[in-house]
Amino acid sequence: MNKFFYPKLAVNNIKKNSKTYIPYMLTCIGTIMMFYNICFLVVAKDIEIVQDSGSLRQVMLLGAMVIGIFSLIFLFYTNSFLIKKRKKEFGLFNILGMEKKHISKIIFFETLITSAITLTVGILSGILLSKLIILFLFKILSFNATFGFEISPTAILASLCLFGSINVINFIFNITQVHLSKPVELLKGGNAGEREPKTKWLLTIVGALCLGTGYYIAVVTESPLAALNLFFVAVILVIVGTYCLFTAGSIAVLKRLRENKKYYYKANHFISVSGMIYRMKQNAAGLSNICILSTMVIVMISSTISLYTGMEDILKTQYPKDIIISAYEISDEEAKTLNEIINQQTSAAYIEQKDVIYYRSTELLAIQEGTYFKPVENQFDTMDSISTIGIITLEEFNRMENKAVELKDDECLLYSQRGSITENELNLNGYNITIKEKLMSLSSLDREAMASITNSYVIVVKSLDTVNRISASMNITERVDIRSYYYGFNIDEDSEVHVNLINNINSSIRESDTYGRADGPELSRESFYTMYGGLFFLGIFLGILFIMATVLIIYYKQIAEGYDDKERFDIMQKVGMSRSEIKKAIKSQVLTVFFLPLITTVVHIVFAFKVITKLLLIFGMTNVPLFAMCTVATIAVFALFYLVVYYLTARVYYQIVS
Amino acid sequence: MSLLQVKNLKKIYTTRFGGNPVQALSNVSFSVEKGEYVAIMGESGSGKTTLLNLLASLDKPTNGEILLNGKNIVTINEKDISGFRRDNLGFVFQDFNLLDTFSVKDNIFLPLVLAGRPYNEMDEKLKPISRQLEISDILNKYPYEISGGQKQRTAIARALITNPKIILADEPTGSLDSRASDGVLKLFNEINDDGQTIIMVTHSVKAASHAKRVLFIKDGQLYHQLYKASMSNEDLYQKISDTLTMIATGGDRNE
Repeated sequence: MNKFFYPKLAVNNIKKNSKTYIPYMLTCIGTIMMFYNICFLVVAKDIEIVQDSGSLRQVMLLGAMVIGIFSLIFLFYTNSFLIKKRKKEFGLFNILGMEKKHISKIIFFETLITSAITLTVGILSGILLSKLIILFLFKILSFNATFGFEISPTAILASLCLFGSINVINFIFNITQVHLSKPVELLKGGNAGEREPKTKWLLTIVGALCLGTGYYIAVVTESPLAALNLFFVAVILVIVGTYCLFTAGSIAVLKRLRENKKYYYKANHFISVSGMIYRMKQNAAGLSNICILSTMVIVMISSTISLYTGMEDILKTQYPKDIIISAYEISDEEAKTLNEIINQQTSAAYIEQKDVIYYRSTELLAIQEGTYFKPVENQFDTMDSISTIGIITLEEFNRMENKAVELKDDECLLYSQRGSITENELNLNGYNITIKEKLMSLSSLDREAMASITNSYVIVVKSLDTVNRISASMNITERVDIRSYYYGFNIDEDSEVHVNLINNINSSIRESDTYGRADGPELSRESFYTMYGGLFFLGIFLGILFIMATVLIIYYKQIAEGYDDKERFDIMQKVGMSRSEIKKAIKSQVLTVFFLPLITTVVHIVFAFKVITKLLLIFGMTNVPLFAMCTVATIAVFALFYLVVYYLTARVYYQIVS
Repeated sequence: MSLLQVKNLKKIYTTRFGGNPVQALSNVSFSVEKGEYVAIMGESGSGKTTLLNLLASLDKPTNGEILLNGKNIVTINEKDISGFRRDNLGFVFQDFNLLDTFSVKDNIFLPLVLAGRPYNEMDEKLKPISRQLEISDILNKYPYEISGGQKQRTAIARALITNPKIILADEPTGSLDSRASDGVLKLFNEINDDGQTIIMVTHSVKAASHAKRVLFIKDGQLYHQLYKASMSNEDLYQKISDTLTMIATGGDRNE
């Protein structure tokens, strides 16, 4: 026998199955390209120039891992789809006298050819694309790009290893599939007399419960710290719920519809409901995959975009003043030294301090139960009710607010930045104090950033004696004069001057015998850009990958359905259904299958919206309208994309059916 | 006036890439009276399936007329043709053409649902038909759960439920064993006795011997016809066999 027999046959097979193989190979190429590039960014020399290159590499490494795991699952899934479609072909070979080992040989050559093509093209186009990608990344990070072209052997090797092993796994799976089946079964392939799916009430109820609980958690959670813990619980519940409802719930609903005689025996409902019952049985998993992937894409892209575009807002919340010097637990003496250092450095640089504020406070962490506050014993218990309390003296309050309020020993003023106290008395672990007045605002303290994550209160008391008594009651043993110190001011200078001043103050503090740290938006801007820009980049990058996966799943679904439906619609035409009626029926059915996941996705996102805004608070992102806008825009773009894919695949579908 | 009149029917197939045109029917004329049971016989490639497709309005003739109740069905436009087919014709196929996604009952209802009839009316119509065809107890089963004979009886019920003017049957016994075939043929005689007009295309001499009239087609032309009149099934069987032998051995019509 000609030694090129098997390779030739393999090439022919690939050509013959081009309708399914070309999208598969394109996806392989796309995934390889993206994987090469993300690996490239982990090791690229150009990244060195970014100030915080270590954390940027970390972000990219995380991305590489996500893409790697995703590629494995996704390519395995598509491959199993392909091989299912081709079982009939292998059955024919078997009956024509080929042994299973010969078929395995053909599959081997097919795998070899497809993986050689996809790896070569994927890595080459990945290398070509890498320059563009790094330029894009630098654009996002607002860095000037370097020139020169870099090829990373590490990234090439990583891609070869990963996708080589994926191909080996797929190959082993395919030949075991062929070996396990009998020729007659192979010939029958997918369409062995299908039974009507049973209604699984238990699964439906479980699904509804999971989804309901997930939604409930997402809507009810108020505190960002609790959100951080519960978010993943909610996500898993919603994923489980989605799978259950798509597989069991949909069939239960459809069967209900079928029992309603008035509804069911209408021409368009009759055909679509009966078809959908079978459709859902085969496609529920695929549809819920699409739904979950889409939700992930939209959440990821919208939140990273809003973080990136809201960066200035975030900086402003984190740093209410241009230059901020803060210290925890220092004495009055040390605070005085800090003042001297600050004044010395500013006057040395001929800089004028504007909007100066400074105050000392005692900071407490407490667990709030209504008006009762108790000390925190375990870091992890009841994150939800944890609150921060800042205690300042009346003297300091009057100075900063320019007022002359008077208080008795057991009286205080209360300002709730976040959280609420309804009574007129506070109980600080047994120490009772009456609230004389609830302040509506206390903006002069620059404490907004603190209030973003936990409940936060400011208590103004008469004297240090009262502070002392409260501290004792809350089991704090330090000396009364050891307190926090905050000093902040604005300056009218260039960014460079900001950075220099901050650095100078910090080095003076280090040389002195006091403690504290100077900081400011200008100093942090670059590391913010690196961090959020890196996340933004990763969001888009993964978003594209997930969208690609969604597109392919949808495409394969449509093709598979097209072949199944061809026969059905042939029969209906013979029985007296017109071509236009058929087209209408197909359209409504395809539309439902197509847009069910998209609609579910939107519902998921509506419910998740609140909890995501809470999570963004942890990153310092407080601009909810901005996030809402980003979400709506992302959904719109995604829906548009989805629509295009729908029209393209629907065309292939019509071609197959008619 | 005859229920169905076929006049000078001609059908030429041209392949898409301009190959040689194939003449499937050259000049066929005949008529069918109301209440008749006509079998059309012929070898493979004789043009009988083409004829049936034209009668079923699934295809258009190159030339000629088909008049149903005096109305030319060839000129009905594409938009109305499905409705026409649904209201006037009932189909029975060799491979049943039942939909796996529907129960037996829903398969029978299909043409009525497409015509937009209310459920109560459909249910009323189903009762006598299902009783006659002995499928009352399998109405809620699915096609993959029932036997071939039951499938064909379901298909016949689907054809009957619209009260069609003509039932067109294409090899109705072709996929059935002899017992199930006998059942279906007996059924056809029964519904014909009730006044239903039937046109059946078949290979099977036995099936044709149940008809009242047998038309023979050869090379796209009407070759011969036999009337049953007062003959028994066995006598007609013998005559049909003789005619087929004559066709096969190339005998001339006038012999």
